[in-house]
Amino acid sequence: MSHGKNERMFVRLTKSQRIQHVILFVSTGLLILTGFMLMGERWVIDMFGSAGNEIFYWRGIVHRIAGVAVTLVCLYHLGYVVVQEEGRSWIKDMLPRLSDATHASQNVSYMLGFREARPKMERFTYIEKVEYFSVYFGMFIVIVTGTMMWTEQYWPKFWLDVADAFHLGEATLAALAIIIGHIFSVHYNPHVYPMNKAFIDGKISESMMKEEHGLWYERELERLAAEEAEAASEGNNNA
Amino acid sequence: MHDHHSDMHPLKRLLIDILMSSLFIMLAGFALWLLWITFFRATFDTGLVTANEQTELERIATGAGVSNEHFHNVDQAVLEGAESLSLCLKCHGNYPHSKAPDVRAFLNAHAFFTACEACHIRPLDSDNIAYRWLNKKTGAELSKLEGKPGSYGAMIVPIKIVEGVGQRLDESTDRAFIEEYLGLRAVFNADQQAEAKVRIHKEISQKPIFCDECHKKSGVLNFRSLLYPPAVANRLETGEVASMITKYSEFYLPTMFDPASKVRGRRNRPQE
Amino acid sequence: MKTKHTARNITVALFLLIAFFILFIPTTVLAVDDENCLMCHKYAGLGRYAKSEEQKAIKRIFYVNEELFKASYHGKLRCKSCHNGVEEIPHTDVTNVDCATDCHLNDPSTGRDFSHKPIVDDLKKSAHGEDGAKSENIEDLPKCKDCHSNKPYQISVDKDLKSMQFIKVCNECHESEEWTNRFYKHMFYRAQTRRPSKQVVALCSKCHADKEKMERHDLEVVVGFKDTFHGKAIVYGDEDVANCLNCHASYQMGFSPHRITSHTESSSPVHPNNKLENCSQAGCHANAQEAFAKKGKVHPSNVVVERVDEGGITISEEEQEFQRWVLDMIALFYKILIIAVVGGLGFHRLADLYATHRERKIALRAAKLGRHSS
Repeated sequence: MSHGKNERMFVRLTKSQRIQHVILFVSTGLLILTGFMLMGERWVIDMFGSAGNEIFYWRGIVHRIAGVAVTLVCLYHLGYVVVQEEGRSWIKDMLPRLSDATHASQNVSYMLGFREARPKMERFTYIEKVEYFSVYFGMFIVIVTGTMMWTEQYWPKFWLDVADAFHLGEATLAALAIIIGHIFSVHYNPHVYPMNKAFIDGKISESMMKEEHGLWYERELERLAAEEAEAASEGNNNA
Repeated sequence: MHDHHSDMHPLKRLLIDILMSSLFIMLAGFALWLLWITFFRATFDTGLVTANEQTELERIATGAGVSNEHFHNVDQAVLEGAESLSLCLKCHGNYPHSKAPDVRAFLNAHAFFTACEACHIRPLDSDNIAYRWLNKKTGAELSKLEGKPGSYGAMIVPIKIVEGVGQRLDESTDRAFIEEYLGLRAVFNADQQAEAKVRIHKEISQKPIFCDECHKKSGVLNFRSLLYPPAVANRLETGEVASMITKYSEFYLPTMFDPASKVRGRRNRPQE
Repeated sequence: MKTKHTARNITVALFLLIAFFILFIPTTVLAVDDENCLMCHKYAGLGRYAKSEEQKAIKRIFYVNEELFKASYHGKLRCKSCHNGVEEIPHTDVTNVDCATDCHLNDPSTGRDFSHKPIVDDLKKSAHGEDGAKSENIEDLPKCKDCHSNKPYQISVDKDLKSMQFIKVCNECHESEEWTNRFYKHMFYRAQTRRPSKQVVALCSKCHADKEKMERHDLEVVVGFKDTFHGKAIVYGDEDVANCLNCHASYQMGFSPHRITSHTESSSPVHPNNKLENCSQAGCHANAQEAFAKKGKVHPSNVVVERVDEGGITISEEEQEFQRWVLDMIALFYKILIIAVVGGLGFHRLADLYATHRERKIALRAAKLGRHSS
């Protein structure tokens, strides 16, 4: 599984996808930070001293700006997966299939040592699919409850309490899932340590692709071969 | 598997390792904190009240408290006054006098700037005793009085001069024994405590030096050599202070300065 | 005739002169400590231990810092104005200060002697006073000193150019600079500063978060304020959100902390009928709609309390229990979900690390074999 610097690279994320991802993670990071400042320990808050008031004010502003940003990027993404070609292929590959269950059980038994090799998986593995749709579920809840709390004057107090409970619960769940399920799995992965650069350059190495997305790798090779053949025949026709 | 990483310059690799591991610790710490607040942190508590606990004196002195604080403002002098290396105060507290209701507050006021031994050791006539203002922390002798009355950061200390060498009378020769006793006090029974106390208080005189033995002309203390300006010294010796004491002992408390005739109930003093 | 008139004029003039001295001298000319109390009370150590009714030691400090006292709200008063009955030394066991005493200070707004009596009377009638409180345990009720102390005006005139200019203008007409300075401080201290919210919450919590005390009075222990947005903002030092007094004794609705009443009184700002107006006070939830002030508790509590119900505006005990149940269920739902997700993802991560570990061992062995064979 060696991948040298001259190893063949495949496209994992397009530019649009990378931009969406950056907006998503920067604003989510800010939302988690400014949101959990409301749950802060008293001794930490006391350290802010007289600056606390100012910090609290900006906490609210930043949380709202980041909330708007994350809402917009989510809405854009919904349009993206419906309208754009790139998006449609994305969502098509993302849809859960029966094979995901097989892959999951096979991969788990490989990791635990009951199987010789990893199963050949698709463009998106079962765990990536779970994470992706978790974001839909989570975003729906935090955006709805967040909007409710932003327009508090129209809602009964109890509804706001319910919104608050959902907002906090979902935020805790999301933050933990992001840290443990996403950052620790994607970036603190010995295969790619110190960092999975796909979110910056959008590329995946051939070896990683073979290892983690075997079926997609084969599909891509076929597609590229077909493209080449077409290009070649076109070249012949032109000549 | 580690190709990129191991190809790097060792220093760059080290930097990346440090960066990534500190990031890891931060993220893991945050995740643990999230789990803590979700599952273990008490939801209903009154953290707004209990946080920032201060001792009573600190609260009074800083005025940061809200309730039970002194109605009139109390300043740092109250805190500094209580600062003392005296072993006596370890048992007797910062306000050691409590028995005589009519004078205890006056006596306590003196205790802020006077060593216990100045009054509670009655020197023999043959002893050569000098009284000096000594800095509470450094023990250095003051050369002039600066600050509010009584709050000079110093105490009046009796010094016994033997063959030209001064010995502070407020430093017990039995310090080691007393310190050991302080540690054992809790486990001692009443008889054992009483036995130890006899030894600890062996130098303390039955009859302390009374108000009118100092606040008079050529009394025990020479206020002028204690750095007081002449006008203040006069007030302390024969002026308003002294006349108050005279009036006091004549009209209100004719028996006060005679402990033998004083049969007031011995009140339990709260211990610090 | 003429001499008669002169004699009468002189009598009148003398009388007026004497009256003038009697009326004005005590408040204007005499120094603060003409009673020489500070002869003893200037000593920081003047104090002693006393015993409370529960036999607990209470430290009593009789020290008065002259500078701080002079700069304080009561700095113009003589000690005996408040400490009645201090006539001789020793003055052991003098009566407690009664804030309802007439101070012999002229109240410029009425021309009469100034007194805190109206406030003391208000307090008596309020929920905190012996007449207004529903409980029999009147010894628990707060006294003036439980909330107030004689602080110096914490306003710096000397460093502020605007203030200095302002006082200069006052001094154009008013002779005593000391007086204008104090008057200015009095007005602007009241206008600019109020008790910080953190202190208000701590002050009220002193009793209202004391479980035993609240049980004695059959009152709800306030425990949930910390978890409200208001409570959290206050911890950060935000002075714009509501503290206890802004809702329970809102000045805009004609209340003052001294006239606080139970939420069950129809006049109380937190009574269900008045909640909407209370929440929509200027500067707060100005656009609050009717629903906002309905159906919920502002500071949640872990106990269900009896609530007044007028025209279905407020919530019944069953509804309160239902609300708590719903909120608890949401929390429980997320707790289970968190355990499942964190456990699942954590397991997956660890299993993957195990797999990587095996892969690495295999690769190492292969490399070794390769070296041997070559």
